[in-house]
Amino acid sequence: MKKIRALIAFQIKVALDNKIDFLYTFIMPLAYLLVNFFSSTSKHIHTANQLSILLPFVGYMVITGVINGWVMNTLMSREKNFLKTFTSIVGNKFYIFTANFFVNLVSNVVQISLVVVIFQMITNSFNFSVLLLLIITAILMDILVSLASTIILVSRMKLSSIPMILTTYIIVGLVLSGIQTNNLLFRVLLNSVSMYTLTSDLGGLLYHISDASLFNITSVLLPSILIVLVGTTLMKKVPVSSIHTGA
Amino acid sequence: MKVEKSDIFVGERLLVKEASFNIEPKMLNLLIGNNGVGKTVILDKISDLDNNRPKEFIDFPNKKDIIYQTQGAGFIDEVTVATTLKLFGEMAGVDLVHDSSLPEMISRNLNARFGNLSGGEKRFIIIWSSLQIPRKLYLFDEPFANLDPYHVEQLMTLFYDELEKGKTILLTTHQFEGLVPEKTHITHIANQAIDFDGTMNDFMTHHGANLQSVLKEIAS
Repeated sequence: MKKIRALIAFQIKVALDNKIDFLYTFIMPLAYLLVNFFSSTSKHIHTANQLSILLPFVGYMVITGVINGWVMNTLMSREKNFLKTFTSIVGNKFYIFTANFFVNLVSNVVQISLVVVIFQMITNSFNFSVLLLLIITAILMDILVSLASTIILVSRMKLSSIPMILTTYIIVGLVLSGIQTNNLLFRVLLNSVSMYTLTSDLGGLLYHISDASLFNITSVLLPSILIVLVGTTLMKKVPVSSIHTGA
Repeated sequence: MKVEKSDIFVGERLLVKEASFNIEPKMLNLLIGNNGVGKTVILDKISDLDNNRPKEFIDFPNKKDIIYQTQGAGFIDEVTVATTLKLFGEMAGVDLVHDSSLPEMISRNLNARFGNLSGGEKRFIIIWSSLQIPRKLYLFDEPFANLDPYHVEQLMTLFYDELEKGKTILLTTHQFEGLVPEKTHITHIANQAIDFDGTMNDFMTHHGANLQSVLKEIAS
């Protein structure tokens, strides 16, 4: 624990120096929200509408925050041979991953909270229960997206391909998020690959937790279990050596 | 610690056939040879960071007991030297920032950002800090690469000083100035084989009149 605490303190110092990432993960979604809903400042937005507006943003901010933060940091440090050295200094790569994940999680949650609060204030719709629900959704989705992202870390993907993959994923995810279906298998499969739809369904499930249907519970729980199982298995296989160098 | 008849591959390419050599404790062990002979691959396997140490690598410490400084790996340019030392110290369980044996070059640069230091200064700080973490084996890949003679001498002195504290160091290098024969063990890789494994004095005797040309070829 002492080592992880020391690593977290160190990573926070490093993260505070990389302010350009905030442009993607905070400024852009906030700007989009404000531009689209500035005319609604005099109208109060009800809880359900707030959730339907904000959940996709939570999904976007978590996905970009995890990919641009936790995943890119790990890949860049690995390809520079720094991760190998750092792992030998720390003694265990999981301490490094845990510290990076924690700092990234806190950063994402803080940014999401700020976006939600600013949105609620602008629209005169402050609602603490919505804020809390979105924070819980963000935390759970951060864990799931980070575990799902281990696929990128174990693959032989070039670092330069990641931004293109992220952009493609975001566009496809936004298209898929509009799909409505009563087919449970299809919904489970969709939620297993699209973190946008999983975010919306998870947030919806938490909102309706007291009277959630079996369909809604299963369509969230099964993909989540699958992601946790695959992610924790792949995490052990993430190499610390550069995958593109030879002798 | 020794390697016994291990074929060293990278991918499907054979680099060294039936490699057999020793790592002598409390000595400066050099792994030398031309570029591409497999020195870094051997260090990678010894470090076992990716769980790929062959069974022919015998009596090497667990990967948690090894420090491995890779070739060219710097540190994070945005942080200060003091922040870096604090991190290393916390990994070692000691306070490096207020260490009485802190070299003068490090103590005068405590508040400097890593990115503002010269290559030699960065390398010295990272290597000194790594050597303060108690481990059974220290691996350094090309620690003298691209350094000026002053910093090469500083590092060489640092390595031999740390040997006096009972440390075992293995490094790859093309640098032969400043070596202390009595405290240096050499393993030379050439023609996909271990050409020599023994003390530096024996290495010089082994090559005799050809020594300078051998060293020149390795250094190039």
